Amino acid sequence: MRLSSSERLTDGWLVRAYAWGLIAFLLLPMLVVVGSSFTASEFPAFPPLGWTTRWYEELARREEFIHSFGISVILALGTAVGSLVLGVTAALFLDRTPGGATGVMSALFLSPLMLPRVVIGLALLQFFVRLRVSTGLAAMLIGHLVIATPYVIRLALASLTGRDRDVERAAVNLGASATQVFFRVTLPLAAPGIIAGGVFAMIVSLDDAVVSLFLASPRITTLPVRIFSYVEQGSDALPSAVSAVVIVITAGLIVVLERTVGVLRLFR
Amino acid sequence: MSVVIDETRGRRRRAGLLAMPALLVFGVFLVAPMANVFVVSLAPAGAPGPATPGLTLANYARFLTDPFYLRILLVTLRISVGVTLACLVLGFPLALYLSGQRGARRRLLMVALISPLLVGVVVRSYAWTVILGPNGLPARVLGSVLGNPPQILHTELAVIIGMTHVFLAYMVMCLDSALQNIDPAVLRAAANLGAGSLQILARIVLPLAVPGVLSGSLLVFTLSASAFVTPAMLGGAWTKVASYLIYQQTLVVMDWPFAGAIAVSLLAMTMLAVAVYLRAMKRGRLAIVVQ
Repeated sequence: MRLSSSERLTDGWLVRAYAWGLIAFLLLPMLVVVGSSFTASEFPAFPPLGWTTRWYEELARREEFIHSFGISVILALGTAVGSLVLGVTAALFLDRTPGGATGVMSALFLSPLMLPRVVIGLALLQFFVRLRVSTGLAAMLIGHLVIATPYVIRLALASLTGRDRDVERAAVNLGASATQVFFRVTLPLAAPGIIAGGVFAMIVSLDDAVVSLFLASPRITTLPVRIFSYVEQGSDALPSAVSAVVIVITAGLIVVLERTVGVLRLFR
Repeated sequence: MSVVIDETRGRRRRAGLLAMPALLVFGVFLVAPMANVFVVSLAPAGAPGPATPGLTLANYARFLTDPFYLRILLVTLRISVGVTLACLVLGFPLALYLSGQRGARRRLLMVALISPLLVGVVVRSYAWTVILGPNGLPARVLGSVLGNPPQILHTELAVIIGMTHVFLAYMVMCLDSALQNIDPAVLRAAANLGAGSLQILARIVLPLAVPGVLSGSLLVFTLSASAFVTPAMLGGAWTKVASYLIYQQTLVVMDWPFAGAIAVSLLAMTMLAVAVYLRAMKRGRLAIVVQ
């Protein structure tokens, strides 16, 4: 099938080869990390210098990593719930207010997306110390909520503004009350954006290393911060094993989410 | 008549109630802390805790005139520009391909593009320390060719590579968004009239993709300038960026007023970039919704 010159731009063999090659490059580091976790050498090496599972055995012995993993999961769930509550209500407000999507409130709610995380972390730490509040799980949760909620608002609002109002009007015409319309028509129509928002909030919380670093305390340290500190202080291959576990769990989550919720549908 | 007015007033009140939770949380835990940072940055340099009385711009002066700190700013800007350009050049062809795909293949591409983002910045940056380190393949291969293994890790280049890897996805999405807006009929017409692929690219696609280029560049630039983890892990002792300086001054040196001054300066730089972007958008008289 001969392609026209315009089709060759987006579908020619050169563009295709380049695209998939670049994608492979993007995924390569994950493979390297997983591979390097099996090295018998002290330092991480890929291809591995000798094969062993000692780093995973070592990881199982390290209480602090397992503890941090638990903290990260708890925070992720808390952030998902909290940011959904804050975000969906805010999105509903912005949707119902004329000019809401572009006004001051919108700018305020979405501002954390434009603020450097370092600045947010610094601001919260100084704020809590000034108020004589010791940082802990609650403080960390607040930090995560601040950075995650804007994503929920954005995604939920996108779903809300794009919904088909005719369905709502039809429901009203058929005699549904305002509450019925909201719970049985509006929310289901906005569900994809809301669910995507919840997933994003969890990912933001699990990922975050900066705000969590500023708000960390000896007992409350998230996994990314734990890995970061460990790498800064040493150079053995233990972080490879930890990272490999994170990568495998993430990949698993993607598969599970796709099978159950069909997240891939959200990427139109 | 009055029923309608009461209805509207009631609805507006209820809508207002919806804003309360987020407004409360953001007001207390975002606006107030940011204002505090600004106020503290005006205090004389010193220990953390409630700011000592007295307003001064000494912290700002110190950051903006001391050559040591200016060098850090320069490194930050240099890295940010490098990453932005790399993402643009490397990402454009991928965006071209992505914009032409539909359905399952498009979704697969998107997932592949986004998956590096999902494992977290620490894991990702660590992966690059393994690859670019003295025991990684590039160093080993180049070492056997050149005789001595080159120092890749803990350089600006390593930071640029690491950040390009993660921000590429953002750039590609912005570009793809703009490319999607191009009417394929225009491209087909050009092809029919005899234009070659390169001509179509240079004279139609590129000019129409400018909004995506600008929004993607803004996004990647601001993300790079504020990045912390990747420069910290890949940069080493000699490649410090502004965000690392903030971290150091806050948690190690404990000079919070100075840290605040750096933070506010970084914020000002970011806002400047946004202003430049909005200016450029308005000039082209393009009505694009800022992503």
